[in-house]
Amino acid sequence: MTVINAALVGSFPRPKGLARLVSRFNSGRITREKLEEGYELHTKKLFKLLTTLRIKYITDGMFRWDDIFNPLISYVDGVKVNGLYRFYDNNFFFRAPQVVGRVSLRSDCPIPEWFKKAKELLNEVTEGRSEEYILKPVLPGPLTLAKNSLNEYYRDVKDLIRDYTFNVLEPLMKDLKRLGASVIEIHEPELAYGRASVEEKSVGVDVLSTLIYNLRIRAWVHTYFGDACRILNYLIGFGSYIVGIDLTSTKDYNACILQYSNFKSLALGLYDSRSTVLERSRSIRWCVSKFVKLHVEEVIICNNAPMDFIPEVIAVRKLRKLSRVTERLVVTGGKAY
Amino acid sequence: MNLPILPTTVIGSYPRPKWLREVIKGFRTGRYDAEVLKEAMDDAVIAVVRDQEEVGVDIPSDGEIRRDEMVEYFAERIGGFKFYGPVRVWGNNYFRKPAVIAKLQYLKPIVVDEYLFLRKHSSRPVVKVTITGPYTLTDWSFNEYYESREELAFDLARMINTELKKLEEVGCLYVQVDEPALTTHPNEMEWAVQAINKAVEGINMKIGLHVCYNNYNILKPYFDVLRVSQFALEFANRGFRDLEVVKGLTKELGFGVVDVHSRRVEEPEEVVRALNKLFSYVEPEYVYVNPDCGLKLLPRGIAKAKLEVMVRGVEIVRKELSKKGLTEIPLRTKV
Ligand SMILES: [Zn+2]
Repeated sequence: MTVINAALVGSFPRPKGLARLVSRFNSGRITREKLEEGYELHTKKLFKLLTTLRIKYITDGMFRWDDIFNPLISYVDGVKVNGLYRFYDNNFFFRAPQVVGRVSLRSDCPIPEWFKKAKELLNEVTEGRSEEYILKPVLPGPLTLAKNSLNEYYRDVKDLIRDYTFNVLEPLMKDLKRLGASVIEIHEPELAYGRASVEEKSVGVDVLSTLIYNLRIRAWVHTYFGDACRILNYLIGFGSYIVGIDLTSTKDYNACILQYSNFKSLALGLYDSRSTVLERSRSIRWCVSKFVKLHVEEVIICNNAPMDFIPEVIAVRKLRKLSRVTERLVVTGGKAY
Repeated sequence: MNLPILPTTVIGSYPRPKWLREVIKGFRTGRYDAEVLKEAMDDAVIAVVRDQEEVGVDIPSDGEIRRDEMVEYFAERIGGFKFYGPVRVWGNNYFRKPAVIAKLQYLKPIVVDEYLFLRKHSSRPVVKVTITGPYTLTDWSFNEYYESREELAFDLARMINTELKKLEEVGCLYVQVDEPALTTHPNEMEWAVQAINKAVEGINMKIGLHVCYNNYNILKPYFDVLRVSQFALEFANRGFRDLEVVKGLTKELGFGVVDVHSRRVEEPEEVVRALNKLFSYVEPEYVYVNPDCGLKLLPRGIAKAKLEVMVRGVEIVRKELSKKGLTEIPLRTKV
């Protein structure tokens, strides 16, 4: 019997009020404490929404992040934070890591602390029933990190992929595990978008799966901006974890559904984070039912990619629909009707 | 009509004076009414045209003072768009990304009044009006209505064509179509270029095309296909590398000589060096000189100083060119 769950993947649009606080903090008009209050308030608001919608796998909305790399890269030795670069084919830009030395995580990285705080807030919002939800910290994967870096140090980018994995992500993920993260979400759009060479992708998958295995954590490797049919040979390396695929970028999922029968947990990115069009529940149910027939252990219904690309109201509408569709599918045991 | 050789111009936007920003804030909170806002906008345009003319810019713009943002402004004035709220572009920077929710409709002239006001208040024979191009309007909007992005882009091209005709009717000589999104999706280039051509179809004014912070190697194969007489490209930001890309260009180049993302004010000699380097790729008679992009994000004083450096640099080069008898070029509408 396949378990069906709902999830929020990656970021939720930073609310207007919080964005205003951030800009006031940046220009020195409010204190760090005032900004902290804002983060707390808006994170709690998001948790309230997600728990009301009974979405099982959640994030804290990544309100403290500017993009999937920042501020992480400002806590990495060997990296300078460089100018703005386009994030794949989006009208969205990130500050790129400029690699000028051997990369390694600095000890003052606040990301584990933020996770701990978010966990406490979730506990507050759910009045102690936070175990019903899985709060996932979100990190960029080593391949995506390396291929979006301006590499001026490593002769071979594959060494950079390795160092990002074992010198940056490993210590960070260890800390997150110690603080109670039961699932860690790792974003690898690079795997699906396809600029990296076959060799680079293979190394990226190898080192990341080694790391996940060594740490004995449940990982969620999420791919997006590319057709899920074309990346199966890479994803197989993560077969025993949660694998996220972007079905909004997949032309013909009928063609590839069968290939996914060997997976344990599949996260189906069915809600398009780059479009304001609301998905039709019927087609979503139909698609999910096909995957349920594969008898994988768990099917998770989620957004395809970070939600920064759509306005907050649309993100809320999509999550509401996602929640309703999931509940209906739970009742029908994964059948489309 | 003739212009001095190496005509100097701007890309379009210019910093809003601080006092105008106060008035806009006051308008949003209800302290000032629309009439006060309009008066302030008019005064600000006069002030920034004056800034440009004072330092010697040959072809000024109105600084796009009345526009908050280059896509928003048009989406607010074309029927069929809706705004759901801000969307992040980077860091903590947001823009109100519009959504197309119905068949688009041309309601009334969008920038004709802007042009007429600028024409009245500039002492220069030629002024520049900017229009956001059909592809960028498409790429920076959500599409909820059209079957395809291509179909949306062509409908936008028709609206822009109508607007260009209206500008031509009132005597406008020079329009720059802005397409900063042009090479974002290389697989859409074919129809993106056709949409731009559709937008300028039957237009006899001078049309430039501004494309910035793009991969120009993707654009290059379309230099001849695009029915514009000028490409305004950014090069200071690239340290004047990649100039080979304009080798063999059979049209004019609007050459970006000052970096709009840096507050460092360049030296006139840097402009001179850049131009001399460029001349081994493009003939001086086919070069206009401009900043890389709009100046809007700089403090006003720095924006003005950068324009002044640009003009001083050009003056030095003009002296050299005049020795070879090169002093003027025609305002070309077709190349
Ligand atoms: Zn520009």
